[in-house]
Amino acid sequence: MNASPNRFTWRPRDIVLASIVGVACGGLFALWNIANVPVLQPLGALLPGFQALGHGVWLIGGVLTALVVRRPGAALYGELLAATVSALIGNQWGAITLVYGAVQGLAAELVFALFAYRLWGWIVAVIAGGVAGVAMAGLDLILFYPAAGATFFAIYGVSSVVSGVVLAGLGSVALHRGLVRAGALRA
Amino acid sequence: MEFTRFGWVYPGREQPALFDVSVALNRGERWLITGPSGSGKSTLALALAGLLREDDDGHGRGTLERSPGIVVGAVFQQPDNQTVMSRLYDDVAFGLENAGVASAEMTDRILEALDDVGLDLSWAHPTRALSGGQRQRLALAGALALKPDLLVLDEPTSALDPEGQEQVKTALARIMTRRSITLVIVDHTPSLWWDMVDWHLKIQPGSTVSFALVTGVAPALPLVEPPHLPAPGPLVVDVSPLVVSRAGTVATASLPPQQLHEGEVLAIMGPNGSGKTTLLMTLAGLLPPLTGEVLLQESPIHTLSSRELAQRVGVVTQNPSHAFFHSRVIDEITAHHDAESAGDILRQWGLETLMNAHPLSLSGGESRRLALALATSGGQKLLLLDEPSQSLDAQGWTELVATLRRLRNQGVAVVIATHDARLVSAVGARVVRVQARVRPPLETSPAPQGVAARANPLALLLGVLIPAFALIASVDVVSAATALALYGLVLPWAGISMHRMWIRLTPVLLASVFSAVTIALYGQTSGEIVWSWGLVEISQGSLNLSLATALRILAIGAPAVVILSAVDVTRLADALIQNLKAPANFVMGALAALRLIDVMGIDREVRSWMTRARGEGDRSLLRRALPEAIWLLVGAIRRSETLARAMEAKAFGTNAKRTHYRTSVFTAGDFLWVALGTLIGVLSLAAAVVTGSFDATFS
Repeated sequence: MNASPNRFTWRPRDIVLASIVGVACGGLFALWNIANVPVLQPLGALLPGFQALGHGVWLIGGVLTALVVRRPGAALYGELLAATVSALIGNQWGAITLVYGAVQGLAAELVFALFAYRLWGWIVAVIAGGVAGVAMAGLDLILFYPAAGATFFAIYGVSSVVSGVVLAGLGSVALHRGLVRAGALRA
Repeated sequence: MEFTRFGWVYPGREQPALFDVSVALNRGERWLITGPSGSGKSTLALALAGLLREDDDGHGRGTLERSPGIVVGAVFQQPDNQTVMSRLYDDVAFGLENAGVASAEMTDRILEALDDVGLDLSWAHPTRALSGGQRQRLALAGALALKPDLLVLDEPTSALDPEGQEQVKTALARIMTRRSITLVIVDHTPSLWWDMVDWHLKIQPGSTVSFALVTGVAPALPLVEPPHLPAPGPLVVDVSPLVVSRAGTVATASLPPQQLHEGEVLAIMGPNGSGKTTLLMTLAGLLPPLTGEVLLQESPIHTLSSRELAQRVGVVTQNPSHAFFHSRVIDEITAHHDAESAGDILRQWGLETLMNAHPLSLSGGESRRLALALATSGGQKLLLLDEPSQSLDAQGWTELVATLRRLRNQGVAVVIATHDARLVSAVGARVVRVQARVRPPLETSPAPQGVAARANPLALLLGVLIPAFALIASVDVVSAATALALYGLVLPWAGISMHRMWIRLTPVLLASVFSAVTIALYGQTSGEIVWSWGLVEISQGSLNLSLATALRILAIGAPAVVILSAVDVTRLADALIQNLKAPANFVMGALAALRLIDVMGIDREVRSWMTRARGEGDRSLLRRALPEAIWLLVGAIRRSETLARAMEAKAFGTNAKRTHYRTSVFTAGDFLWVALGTLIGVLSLAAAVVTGSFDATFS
């Protein structure tokens, strides 16, 4: 990766790259929905909160975009854009997906900010994924499941964080490494 | 512009792309730059266009002096990757907005530019419905609107069929008569542009440059001796009268009965969009035919399993990387061969040094060799290629012909979909022509009528998000039901068409049902317990809450889905930039990236075909999830490289104050929208409080 003199400025091609990664992640979300939701959703309805273990996928937009572009705001922008795309393609939340994208993206962004935008390895990614998972759980529990019992809340919350750590954190690291090996991030 | 001992090295490379080039470009000259792949001609074009930035793109040597203040327009090779906006005039306006041209001047410039390139279509014509030739002309128009002094075209017709090439040539000829422009065309086929240029600059690898006046006849294309045709062998493919169609389209293509023997080559010819690829993929057993049958050595080809198909049929797609499924070249080969033969195959195709490289990191020529190796090394008797000679330079073309001849002599039956007549005669193919068919009219969603059509998208969104926040406060039946009833009145009155909304609403409906089930099972317990087991506790209270949950999700989600379908993304972007003062570069970057969704759909279709063709179709989706996601991302990022250059060539990211082609205002009517939504939220909560059913979420 080419080091820009100031790691806080966005060059036009950084913007394009972040936009493309965000949109592509949105596409991945949509594919995940099509492939899995018809099976996972009805099954998940019967679970006391473990269904959240599969939700980390929806946090990849933010973490991956940050790992690829490595600039302030990348996580927020990437997650917001990915969420928007998945809403445009068609999901159950429509305009509210924008709120999801903003909140989840902001959560991940805060983690990268906490490390002064210097660290981009798997540790930061995993923490960012976990924190974004907390944000996601918060939104889900308020919007979908406020009427659930305390046990459900606990299981759902923990599952969301674990999913964020594994799927969004480690998953994004795996994707990023794949991209580097494939030579996609040359310049 | 004057280059003095100019050179350029890309980051991470040892060899310079350009070395010690000294030439001068004067106003009004018309240049043609030719050279084989890897000679540096594209780098020279980028340098001329001012798109090579020190540090970002690499390091320069020598000097490049440019006259100050010249405007440069640039058009690149891939038509799909240069479109930024979804509607015709908006795309042309993109560069004007970046360059800070006054809004009042824009329409005239757009009309003039479109007239120069001969694109006579309506202002809102969807750009994704444009053919390749039309898209390249659109890219030209976008460059022309900036009134450039210099126009740089990098292989503008390589990716087009003959009809598209003609369109672009004619458009360029017209432009040159109407405007005084310095012109630089980079291409590997001189004959196409010979009568349009004055100077010919030839670059060889190592940057030996020869520069001469254009006289006489264009350098001829390499001579090809007529092929020696081997006697055809046993029957390989038997095709009964075939009618094929692509999933999701109504249009069909047909093929009369065919018999293909070992050592024969069949060419399917026709313009782009005529169904060549669909026919090819059906013959390959990757698409089921509508009527008719394709028999591969007596078995119907599309009933073969993925693994069987990979052993007997080889397919090479236009973009070879659709065939790659592993993270090392050697793994691609050992998927179907043992280690020993793998070594031989690598040597035979010149891929030994790339053994451990990632297949997606290969250059164009290397990818093609790997795809061909995979398609032929298993003794496959049938090989199908989709436009194999597209974009090839003279050397690549000669190698392709040699390879195809060799395969045919080895007894492979070959089918090519192509528009390259020279290739067809060079390999001695039998030709079947597919008629051009009328493109089916593009289905567009009905434009919102009435009030919603004129509203500011931000107002529409706020009008739904604010009441959603209100509804969150309580989990009860009354507030949700009231909201749904009020929305049911307001939305149709606002002119939002409920037509086809049911498809879009299905996810919300399902979500509400499934969540209701979850709450019934795990909701807060109160009242009589109906059933319990383990963590499950169904009670009177949880059942009530489950109904409330279902209605609440519908009341929050359904309007949000409906509203989003009424929002035009371009107008939302305008509102974000002009009304909310969001950073314009990010919003426009997002809009441009959205163009990708259409292309990604096509890529996925081809990918699904190749999954079957390469024997990967039997592996479970879960194991392939990560490599497939990487494949998708790599493809997207590759496309974005051209897009970024095209956008930079249209002044994207320069600090000039950005102007607007479309205006976005927040009117009194928009405030009323927001007020209306707020009212819905307030009334719903009030109803719940009044009837005593309010049940605070946060308790």
